[in-house]
Amino acid sequence: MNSFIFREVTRAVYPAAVVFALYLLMRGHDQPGGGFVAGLVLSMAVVLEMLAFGAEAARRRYRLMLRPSLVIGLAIALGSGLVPMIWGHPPFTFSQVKYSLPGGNELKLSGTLAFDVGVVLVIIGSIGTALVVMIGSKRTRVAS
Amino acid sequence: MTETLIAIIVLPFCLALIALVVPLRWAGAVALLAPAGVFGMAVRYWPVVAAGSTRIVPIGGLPDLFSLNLRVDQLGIFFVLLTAGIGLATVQYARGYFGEKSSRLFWSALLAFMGAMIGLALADSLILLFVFWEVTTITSFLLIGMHFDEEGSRQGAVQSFLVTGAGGLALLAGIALIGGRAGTFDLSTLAAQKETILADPMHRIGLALMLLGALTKSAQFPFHFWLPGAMAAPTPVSAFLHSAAMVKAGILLIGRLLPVFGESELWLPVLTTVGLASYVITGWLALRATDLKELLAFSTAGFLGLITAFYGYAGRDGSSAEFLHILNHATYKAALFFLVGWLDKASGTRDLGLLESQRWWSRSRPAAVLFGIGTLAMAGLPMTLGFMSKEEFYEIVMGGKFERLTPALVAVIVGSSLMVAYSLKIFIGVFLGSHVPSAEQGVPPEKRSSWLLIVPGILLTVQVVGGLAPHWLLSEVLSPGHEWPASPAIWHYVDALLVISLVSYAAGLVLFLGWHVARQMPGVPGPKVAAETLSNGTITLAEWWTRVAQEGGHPRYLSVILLTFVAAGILGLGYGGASLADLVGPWGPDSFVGLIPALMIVTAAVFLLVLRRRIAKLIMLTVAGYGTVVVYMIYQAPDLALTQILTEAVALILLLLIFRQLPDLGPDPRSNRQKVVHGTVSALVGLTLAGLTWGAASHSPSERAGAEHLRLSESQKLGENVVNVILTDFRAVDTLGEIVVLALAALGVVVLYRAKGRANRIKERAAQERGS
Repeated sequence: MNSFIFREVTRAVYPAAVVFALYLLMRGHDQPGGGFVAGLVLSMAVVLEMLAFGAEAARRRYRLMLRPSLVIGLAIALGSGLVPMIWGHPPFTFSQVKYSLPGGNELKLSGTLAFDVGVVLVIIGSIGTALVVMIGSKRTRVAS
Repeated sequence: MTETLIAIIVLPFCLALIALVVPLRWAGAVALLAPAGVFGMAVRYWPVVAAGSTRIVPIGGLPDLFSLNLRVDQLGIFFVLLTAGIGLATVQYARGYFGEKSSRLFWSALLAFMGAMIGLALADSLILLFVFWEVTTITSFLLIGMHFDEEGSRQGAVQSFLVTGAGGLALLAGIALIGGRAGTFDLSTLAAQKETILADPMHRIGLALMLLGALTKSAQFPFHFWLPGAMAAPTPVSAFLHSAAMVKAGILLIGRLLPVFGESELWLPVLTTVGLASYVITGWLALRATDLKELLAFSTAGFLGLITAFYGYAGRDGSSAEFLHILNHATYKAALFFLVGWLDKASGTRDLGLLESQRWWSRSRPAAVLFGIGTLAMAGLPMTLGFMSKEEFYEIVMGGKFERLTPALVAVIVGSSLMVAYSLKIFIGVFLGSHVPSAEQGVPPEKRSSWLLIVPGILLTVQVVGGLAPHWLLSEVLSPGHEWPASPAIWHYVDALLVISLVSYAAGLVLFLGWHVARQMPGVPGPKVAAETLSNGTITLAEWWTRVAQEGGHPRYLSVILLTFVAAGILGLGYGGASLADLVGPWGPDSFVGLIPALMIVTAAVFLLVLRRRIAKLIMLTVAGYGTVVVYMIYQAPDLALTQILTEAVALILLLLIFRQLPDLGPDPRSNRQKVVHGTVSALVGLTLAGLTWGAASHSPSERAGAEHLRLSESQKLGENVVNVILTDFRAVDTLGEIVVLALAALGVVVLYRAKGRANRIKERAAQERGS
């Protein structure tokens, strides 16, 4: 899709999508959002970029990122579940700490956040991998 | 303590892995470390457990579901020591037996087999026990089928796997039934509440299923037929499998169940009937057999029958002479198998018909002496541990004052005389053959490893020590403090037990002499035929079912899945007692808003049917998906709506990418009949789903699903968005499973595209070559 407007819009939307994904990730435990949705938003950003700048560019840019993010994501998700066992809790019991921030806000950090980060990485990794492979492959028609 | 126990179980498995990678000539030495190490670590427990102490050692598990407890008691440690001891003998023997011709896979499978048996002995949790049980099934399959390039070996492996595997399934069902009803899978807890368990009539089914597992594993009648097939295994494996592992696993399980079910009304009749029937029937089969290994195999099933019957009686008698019987059988049977391995090497055959013409007495005196002691022990003659074991068994049959004594006594005498007869048959056949010696076919003496005779020699020492100093072995080593019904002595005064023994010796001699005359009789179809029929039948059945269930077309798979859903949905509605009026619910203000998505979805569905092009259909599918999004928004589920919007978008793009590689749809290739079937299935699914949705949507909020989750989430201050709290806190393991599936799917895409790329390149190259 070789369109100037689309490319420029993508340039603007891409960072916004990333920020939005982070926002969804952070608020996920209390408000609509969460790791799965954040991962999907990030994937959509990748899709946009692929459609705007072509598969080859996207492939060059993400090639070294996608599959590692798959593995690292799985490791983080699994690891975050196993860490509580160090203190003798059953696996996947997440505890949380709250800090008061200046201005009356509160920052809540919880083991679930780490788990959600793992989920995000796996989702962007797997959808991205599938996309890069499929867009990148030449159009080959099945003999009919 | 916990660490040592875990080390005992893990060591063989670790060495099994190491044996796979070290140079082949070291593999045997590495393998020696496992039984030696296990024996060294376990033997320290013996004085404690022999004094009667039992300890339960928890090593983990899932709380509220099951625990993974280990158990340190006399039976368990006895089996660990036995497995390690015979395992040590087996490994050393196998090093001599195979010489340079062993394989890493053999050592590895043997060690894993050993480790599984040890784990089985130490498990208190039935879950853990079942896992190790199945590992013995799998590793024995590998070991029996070691010579997988030979048809007989493969068939033997498949047969034993089918029988013991089916038994394993029965065992699992039994464990689930008993454990599920009792609320625990721990043998120690089960034994503590045995009154409650025995009061429940369902325990009979559970017990029968578990015994089915034990009896198939121990090759008891009528499942004895898999044992001769398993003789395709290399001889050291047969020795181990018959003396300390695999078939002994069934005996071990019976011993483990005894404290729980010993007083059940099924226990005594089932175990004594099956055990004594096996004792007699397999004794008869052993007398008929001409292959020495097959003969010994049937003899194993027979003696295990004796032990099974012993456990049957022990249920009421509370005797603990099990160690005597098991040690006796393990030592003489392993030694005899080892000796047959030596004979096979030396003469090139195991066939008694051929061996009779070779007169091994004049060729190898040491072997003859060892064979002599082994067969004496097998026949249960005095001066061996075998004698003690048999006397002890007669004692429990006679002394326990059980009803139906006569048939049991007859079975015992007949079985024992058969043992005497085939023991004579082996010794006289091999060593005192009446014919002119013929030329040797086997490996020349200087190339035979001397370990092939040393190892059985050591094992038989135990027999002789037990026979000559029974008091020391039984009362001080095996079970100190135990009152032995028959005083362990070489000789006791003429009493009923001695009379039975003498009668069985005489009958055995007559049987042996008579057999020489009668063996020209035509044979009945042997158990081999039964085994082949059964395994072929099972495989035919499996092939037929695979053809039916896995025909390879998506329409059928989808139909099965969807119809299951329909059935489950209808069941669910019916089970909940919902009438049609309940389903429909009142017509409220929400209903008009609901018409918007309904219209969207229905229109999209109609277009989906009518449109021809794939991509157009895909877009209609997405429209229907966004219709669902509207439904979620109406019911104020922003999380679901957000997720659905994004998944629809991603799915649309992924599918577009796939579809652009497919041709346009041609005319519908389905026959009218198929169209009707598919249409009916679709209509059913649609109606069920519509009914379920309608029902769910028109129910009052007081019955809303997930109230418990809301409450928990609030009380534990987990988070305010309960949907995500469920995903990350309550169901984190589910979520983990899902992302693993997603990751695997992505890798699958990569692999498939690579394979396609490679196939295309090959095609192009072929085209170029044709062109040039």
